[in-house]
Amino acid sequence: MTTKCFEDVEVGQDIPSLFKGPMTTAHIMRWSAAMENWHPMHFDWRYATEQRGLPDVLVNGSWKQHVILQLVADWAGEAGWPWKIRFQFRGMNVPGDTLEAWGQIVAKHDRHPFGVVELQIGLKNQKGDDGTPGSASVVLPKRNGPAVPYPFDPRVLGPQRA
Amino acid sequence: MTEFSQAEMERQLDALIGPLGDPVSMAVELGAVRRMAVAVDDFDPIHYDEAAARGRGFRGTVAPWPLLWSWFFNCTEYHLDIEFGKATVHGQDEYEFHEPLIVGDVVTVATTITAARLKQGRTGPLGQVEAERRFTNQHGQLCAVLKTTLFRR
Repeated sequence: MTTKCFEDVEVGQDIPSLFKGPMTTAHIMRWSAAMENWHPMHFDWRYATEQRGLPDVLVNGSWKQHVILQLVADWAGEAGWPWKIRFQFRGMNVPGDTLEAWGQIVAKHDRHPFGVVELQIGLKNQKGDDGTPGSASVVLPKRNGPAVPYPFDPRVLGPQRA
Repeated sequence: MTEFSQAEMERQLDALIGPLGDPVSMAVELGAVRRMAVAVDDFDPIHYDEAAARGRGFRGTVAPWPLLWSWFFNCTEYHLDIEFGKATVHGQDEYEFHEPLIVGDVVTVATTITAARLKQGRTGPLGQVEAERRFTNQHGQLCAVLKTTLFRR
């Protein structure tokens, strides 16, 4: 497997998307059970639609977060470290949605001996609506530099170079 | 419905700032880790197989990061004592990842309300509450920091 290095990526590049769905109630129940989250808006259609005024039962926000995390971690590879990630909850997703987790490199910071790559990320449905926009910071090794340490301690990052 | 003055709403929000409940601990269980990874079709072997995880340099089988929310749903106090408004909505999460959660670990979460302020939203007063959860394992290592922004309207 080729190690992704700080020098290999460019601002403006899109990272490979991750696709999920079409979402079903089984997906939601499987995640709710794994999370032990029994909020009825995720599985009780009558509660969700009649009492909460929602369009349907909702895909869990934490599930959507994991999909985006999976996207970023897959892109970072075994040599990189997904350091920070931020999400906003701006839209709902329901059964029937097909979801695309996407990302684009928006900045690079030389923090010698490592590099930090900033990504704009999100999760779009089949209509192109992005209900979970956010950003991520990924630490990558530099070519011929030391491996990103495990466990990762941000104190290993040098000051930001111009 | 009781109407609250701006001063009273601000007082309710100010009263939230500080520790929220006591630190609580929970074990990282193999079954929970596997169920979570399967639930999102994440078949990276580090979430299922200890030997595979150790081969990649981890201490053991690695939990998917959203397992952090299990502490939220199972053993932490998260009720916010706000009288104004009708609903609390989840606005934003921000994570920092440090030492992964490993099967067999006992992880403790400490929750603090770090900020609470009254803003003016499109439909009226909007309370913004920021919480920080710090997760540490039995070795005293910081595993993750989760910052959550909630809105009360």
